[in-house]
Amino acid sequence: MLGVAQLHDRDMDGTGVLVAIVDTGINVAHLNTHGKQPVFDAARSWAPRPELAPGAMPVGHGTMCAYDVCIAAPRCTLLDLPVLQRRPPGGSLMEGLLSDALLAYRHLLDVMQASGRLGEARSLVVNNSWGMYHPSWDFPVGHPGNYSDNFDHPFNRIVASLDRAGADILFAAGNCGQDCPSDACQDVTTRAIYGANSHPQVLCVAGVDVAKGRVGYSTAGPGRLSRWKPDLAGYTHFRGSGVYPADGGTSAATPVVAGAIAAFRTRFPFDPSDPTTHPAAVRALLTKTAEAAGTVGYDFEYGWGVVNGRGLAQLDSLRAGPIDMDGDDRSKVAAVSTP
Amino acid sequence: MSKVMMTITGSGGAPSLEEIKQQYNLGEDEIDPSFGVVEVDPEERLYTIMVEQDAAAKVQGSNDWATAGPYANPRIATFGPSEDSGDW
Repeated sequence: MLGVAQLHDRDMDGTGVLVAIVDTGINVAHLNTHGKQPVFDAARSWAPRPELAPGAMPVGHGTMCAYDVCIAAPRCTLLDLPVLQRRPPGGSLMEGLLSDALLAYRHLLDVMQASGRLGEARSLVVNNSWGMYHPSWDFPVGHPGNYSDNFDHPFNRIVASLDRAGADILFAAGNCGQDCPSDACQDVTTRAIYGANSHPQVLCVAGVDVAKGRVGYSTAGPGRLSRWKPDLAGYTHFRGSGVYPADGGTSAATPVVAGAIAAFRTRFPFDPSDPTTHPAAVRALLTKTAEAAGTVGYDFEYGWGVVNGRGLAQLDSLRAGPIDMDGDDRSKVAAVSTP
Repeated sequence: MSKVMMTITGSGGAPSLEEIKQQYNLGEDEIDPSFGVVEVDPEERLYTIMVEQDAAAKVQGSNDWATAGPYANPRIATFGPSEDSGDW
């Protein structure tokens, strides 16, 4: 389905690729007892408070995300950045503040900018299975300090910086889909892909089930910063990590795609001197190879289609077509379904 | 949201927390030392600090630095299965 066998047949398994899980924390022991043996890089991990132990965090959402990366990239090197640590009384979601995510991104910029050992791959994939659920969490649109619609917001600025440094950044589309939104969406289901989740320099990931049907809670576009979001869909709602009865939400779909990118980067690592290896080029390849779903071409539910590891495995070079250097794929929108 | 983000753009090197406190007459409890001064855009020499919302008005441009803000510091939350919703 994801093309894992085809990727692994070409030695595309995440070896040497760093994958940062910006989330609630990873429990590496849980991964090991559930059949996953990735490398864990404690030195390059980061936590907002000293009492938090990256790699040995309580089993939860972040561990699910780490497991799902390892489906396609079982040999990747995981970095743990546990920034979402608060569970409100009576709530089921893990929360944090955007400022902690900003600090995590600063750390990842340092990781990318640090000189590597000779021969060490420099690829970094960053998984973000979180976001805002409702506009009330933010300053209003039009306020100069607004986050959801404002490229000048410091977090949106550092996302752009990390992309320019060479990281492949993915954000979940969210769980405010019209058919089955989370209660936290408070029935706001239109234009509900906020801030960095809709940034043109990231991949925004919608959710489909294993039959390639869009899950009803997957937030549809358009996005706020870039209209053409989500970019593509990943698989969710499957028995996987054992953290939950089923790995779910657009939270699971995103690391499934992140793992496919990490596997791909094993053969085509980031090289700052070669634009065909830059994140914008890889985003274009992911959308170009995606399996059609929904409307032919682009639509606001599936993006360009479902992630296609088989198609990525078949690429012999990165020169697979025009490269969308501005990163927003606007030039590729030939036929669009508007809501 | 009791704390907000401000940005500072400087022509020289990164300002220190102490320099910022002195420049804008910020008290110890008005600026977040654990957040510090964070460079968010190396190409533009753009830095971010976090201050109490009531102190944001003090952080206005100077001869050396341009400032902007306050910027929101919203909650963020996971997009996973809700353990209570039966979402599986």
